[in-house]
Amino acid sequence: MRSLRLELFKILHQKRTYIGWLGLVLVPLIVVAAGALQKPQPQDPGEPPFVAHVSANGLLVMLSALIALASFLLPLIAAMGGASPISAEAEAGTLKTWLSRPVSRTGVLLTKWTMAVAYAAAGAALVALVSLVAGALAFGVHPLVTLSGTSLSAAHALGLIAVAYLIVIAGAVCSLSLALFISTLTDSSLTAAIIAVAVFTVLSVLNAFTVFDFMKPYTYSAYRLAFVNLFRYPIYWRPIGQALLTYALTSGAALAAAWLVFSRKDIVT
Amino acid sequence: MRSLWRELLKILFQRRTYVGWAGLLAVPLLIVLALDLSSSKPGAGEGPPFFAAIINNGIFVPLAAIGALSFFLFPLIASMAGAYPLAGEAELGTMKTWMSRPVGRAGVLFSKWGVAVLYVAVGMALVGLGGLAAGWLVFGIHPLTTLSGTTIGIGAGVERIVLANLLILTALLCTISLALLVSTLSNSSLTAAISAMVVFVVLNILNGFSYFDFMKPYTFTSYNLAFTNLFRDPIYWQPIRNALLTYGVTVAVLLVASWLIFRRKDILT
Repeated sequence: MRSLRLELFKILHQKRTYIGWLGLVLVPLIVVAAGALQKPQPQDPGEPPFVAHVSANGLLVMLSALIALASFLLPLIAAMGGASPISAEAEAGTLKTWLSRPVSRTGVLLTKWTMAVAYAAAGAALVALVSLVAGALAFGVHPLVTLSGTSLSAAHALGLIAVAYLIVIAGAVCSLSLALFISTLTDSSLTAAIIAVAVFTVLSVLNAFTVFDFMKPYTYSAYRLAFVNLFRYPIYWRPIGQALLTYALTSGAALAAAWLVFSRKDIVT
Repeated sequence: MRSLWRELLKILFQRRTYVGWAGLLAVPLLIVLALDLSSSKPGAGEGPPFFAAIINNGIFVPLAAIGALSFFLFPLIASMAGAYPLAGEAELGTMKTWMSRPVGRAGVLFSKWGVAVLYVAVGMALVGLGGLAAGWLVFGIHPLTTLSGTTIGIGAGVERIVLANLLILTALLCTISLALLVSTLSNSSLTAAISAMVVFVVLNILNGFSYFDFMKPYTFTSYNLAFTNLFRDPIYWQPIRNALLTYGVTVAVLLVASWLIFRRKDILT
């Protein structure tokens, strides 16, 4: 517990923490501003669900922001969160001091991972909160019409939206764990973060081609919008279950690899 | 020149350099592979611009690749390249040593900017050459049909592809300069790169809503596809000129700001 608190302190004293959160929070604000000022338009066929009708219901702001974040910004922020705890200490030259004390490396690794997850989750929670408040103020909260055409009470919808956020956070944890793993291999936080984001992007490019459909079930990037299935009636759980399984396996493998490398690593700085 | 040379040596000795180039090169190769293996060919207008034309003419591979990359992976690599040279030295603690010698700070700043540009330009050339070679091997190269329906020779086509690359490189100068500016304010390369990316993504999201169209002429992110106008006959210069003007002003402002900050900065590490 004590080391978790230490990690939290470190995160809260870094500028980039707040830059990341600020960037995330700007997205729902932009969605609300555009929805409030713009005349409603017919939906593009290529456009993701929910975005076009945002001004009809404040709850849709939460979903639109989530859709916008899940494909770029959240994986980016998560990769930053995962990359910095270990390699930023290596850069600052404090890792050596720390590991010369009687702490277990497993503990250090897991604490840093947990805190990074908490950081990403806090960012997503901020988005949820800001979009709920801004959406409710601008458009009011109404029962949500599902993709199947049925209607959900606002409270029920809010519950489902919370689940959707959790699913997206679980997806971001894959990028985060991958960044943590790479940060055990390099001493540069930038390298670790960029590689994790590049992997995500290249996988997304692959997912766009039907030839590579065979690998879709195994790539975490393919399930970005799986949460949309929560808003069918009845809820279509299959893709969500698959998404969570893939997320768990990816994060688990990355974390195990990180542990294997870090537990034997020569700490030079 | 000498300091530019030294900067070049520094980046050539970093693993990150090659990871970035490899990630970029993978994209055109994957596109060719996917289209070659795929049994269902993309219809006209599907995917990024020029994408559907690839199966008939390999000369379109580099164009489809830069079109696809300019949305995310190019800016990511550019922000990494712009963020690292200054902040990376601060992280390693070599900046102080260097600044204690009789070098001009403006020279240091601009040689670091120059090497970042060079790095991105080489990555771009790799994408272009790799894409062209792969496209030639798999689909063959023929005179290309412009968007206006006329046909231009292979030589003229390659010339326009080079022009398109230069235009996108100018766009990336904005991201590089932005990352450089943040890296004069922060001592962490990760912070600088992520901040530049956050700005880029948030501007993109703004550009996505038609209410914010009034700011489109002033944001460097809204000209991602201006290069397609090079492939009309005659070339439609108007949007390209607008793009270049916006890029020029953005880069100039960012560079002047970085210089003003770096000139007076306390170098602590």
